[in-house]
Amino acid sequence: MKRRGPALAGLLLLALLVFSACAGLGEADGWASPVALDEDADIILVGSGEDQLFAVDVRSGAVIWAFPDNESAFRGLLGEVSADAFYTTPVAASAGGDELIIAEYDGGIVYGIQRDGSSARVIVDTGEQIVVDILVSGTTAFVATAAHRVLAVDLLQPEPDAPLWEFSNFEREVWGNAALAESERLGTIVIFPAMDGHIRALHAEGPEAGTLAWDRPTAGGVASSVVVADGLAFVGGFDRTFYALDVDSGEPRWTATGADWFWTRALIADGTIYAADLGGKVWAWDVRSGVERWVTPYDAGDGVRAQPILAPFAGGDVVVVVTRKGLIHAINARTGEQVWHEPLLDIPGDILADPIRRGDRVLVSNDRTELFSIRVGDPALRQVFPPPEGGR
Amino acid sequence: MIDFVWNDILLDPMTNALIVLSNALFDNYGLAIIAFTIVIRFVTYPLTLRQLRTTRAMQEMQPRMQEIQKKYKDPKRRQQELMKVYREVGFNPLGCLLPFVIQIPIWIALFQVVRRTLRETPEDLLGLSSHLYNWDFITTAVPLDRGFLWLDLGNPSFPLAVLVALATFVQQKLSTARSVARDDRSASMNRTMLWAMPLIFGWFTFTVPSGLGLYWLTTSIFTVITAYFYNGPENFSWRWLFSMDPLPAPTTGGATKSSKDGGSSNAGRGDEAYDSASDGDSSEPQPAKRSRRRRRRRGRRGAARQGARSDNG
Repeated sequence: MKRRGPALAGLLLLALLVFSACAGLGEADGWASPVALDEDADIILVGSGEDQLFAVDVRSGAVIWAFPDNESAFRGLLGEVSADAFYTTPVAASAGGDELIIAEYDGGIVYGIQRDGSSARVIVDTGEQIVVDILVSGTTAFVATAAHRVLAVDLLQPEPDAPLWEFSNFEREVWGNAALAESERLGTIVIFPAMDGHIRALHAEGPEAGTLAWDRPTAGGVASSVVVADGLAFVGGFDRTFYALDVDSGEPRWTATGADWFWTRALIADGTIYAADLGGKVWAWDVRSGVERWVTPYDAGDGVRAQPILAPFAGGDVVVVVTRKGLIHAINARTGEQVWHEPLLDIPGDILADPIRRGDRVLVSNDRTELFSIRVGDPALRQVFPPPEGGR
Repeated sequence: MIDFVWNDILLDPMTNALIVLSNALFDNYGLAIIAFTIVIRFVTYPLTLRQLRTTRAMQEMQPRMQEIQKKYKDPKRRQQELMKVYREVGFNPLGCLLPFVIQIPIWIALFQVVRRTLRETPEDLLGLSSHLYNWDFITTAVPLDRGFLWLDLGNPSFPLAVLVALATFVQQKLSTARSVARDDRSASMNRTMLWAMPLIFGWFTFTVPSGLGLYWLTTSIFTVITAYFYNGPENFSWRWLFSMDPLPAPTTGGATKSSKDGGSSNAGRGDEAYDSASDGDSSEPQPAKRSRRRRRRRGRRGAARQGARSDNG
């Protein structure tokens, strides 16, 4: 009791340690979507919520391989690999064998992993945060970073310090997935949405590669994924507007107003585009005209970040929407009426990754690297990974 | 219910107000943090003022309280006497605590709002979206520009950490000076805190996004300026504030001395806390000396007037 000063200071230090630990902004969990590694979707790559990717046998829940593995090393890679969260969904590329291209978030390293998990390589180490899926066209990978730039990297002969081209005129982060488009006037272009509120098309090939083809400003940031169909690029923004842009010019063919920010990848099926916003409204527009297909938008009751998907139900297809908090909805694709909905109460955490379809089932992963399987119309939920009995 | 009050009544309006402010201040988020902190501090200023006054009143009672503690060994009697003194000067023991307690949630909310709007990860921004009012000028204002001067408000900054440490030192020196040490143990604790707090807050700033550091720096500067005006410029020595002068010695001597000198304790004046050192102490700050001289002059003038009156009478 005689020397209370140091004790008090120690206590304060301890309190501040705890406080600063809590005050640090949210941890990055990542929202890499599950990906089927084979045609039957028996092997699924799960990579959201932990700092590892797992190739999982859906039938047994067994891990076939993990990246990085538990020894923090991976065959073919020199030194240690300590990956951070994964936001990027693995994409297939044949340039370096049968590879999956993925980027880790904080370190900004782009990896090429052999599909069978036999080896891996570092393609490029950007040192900048990467949220956006790596876009692959032939032997070129387009890497967008949160440091306001896009790099085009040769997958066969990646030169870390000398990319094929670089575009760095973004004023904010690139957090929305890009898409390739074929334009009659411009050739192959790659369309990037950015948080500075601009949607930019860059020449992907030829002498003009890496230069700006067109630039469409919007009234807010753009973080949702670009989807291309019928010569139109579709993307929604923080200005609550959904844009259908002409890929030749970037001019809006039509726009529609949502209820909140758009942050999903839209689904295109049978001439209709389906998109959900963070206010929980699901919209259906005619691809060509933008005319609403449903009398009113569907209200999912909770924000939606995951892409809507089509799934079979009662002899037809329904649009399946999974909300952040785990409400699953089956919506009549033609009328927008509710067919079925079920709160997936057993799913902890947030659902931010896109679901995928496996036969008549929908696979949903949360931000804790757990994978669940559900059949539309059936409230029974099956945890696929980690297997319920444990033993990862 | 608590969640509703905390989020819907406090946090969400503050979050949206900060974004509106950022919009109004040329999309400058750094300026918005500074302005928002100042606005909130002004709004809570009446509470701060009340707290300062109560603290001062308590300090002024210190010699009498010490006397009572020495005089009465029976705790019950001691308590009764203390209450009598409280009643005499109209002091409410809870008066100091209540404004502080009311302000704590506001400060925490302000801190959380800055933290919330800074968005480091995509999940942060996704989380922010659910707290925004669905008005065009707010939803389109996000994401906020994190650049301010040399800072990326989303990342820690060493120079800012140094500034925060410096500001905390000054703030701590003022507050330690206000809370006059009662004995050697308290003085030792004060001395430790004077050095520990800047180091801790400097380190803290170095580990969190600069936006929070900016908030802390603004808060500290506001506190120092408040103290400057509350105490009065004539009682404020900037040189002393930034000097390495030792902290005031325990007031046991000082208080007794001053009560001997003039009957009233100078320890009660927050600004004068640093004049509790002995007269001969060369490290004694000038304002303290000046105010003491002033009191002596007043005392001499009073004595002279009394003398003149008695002569006339």
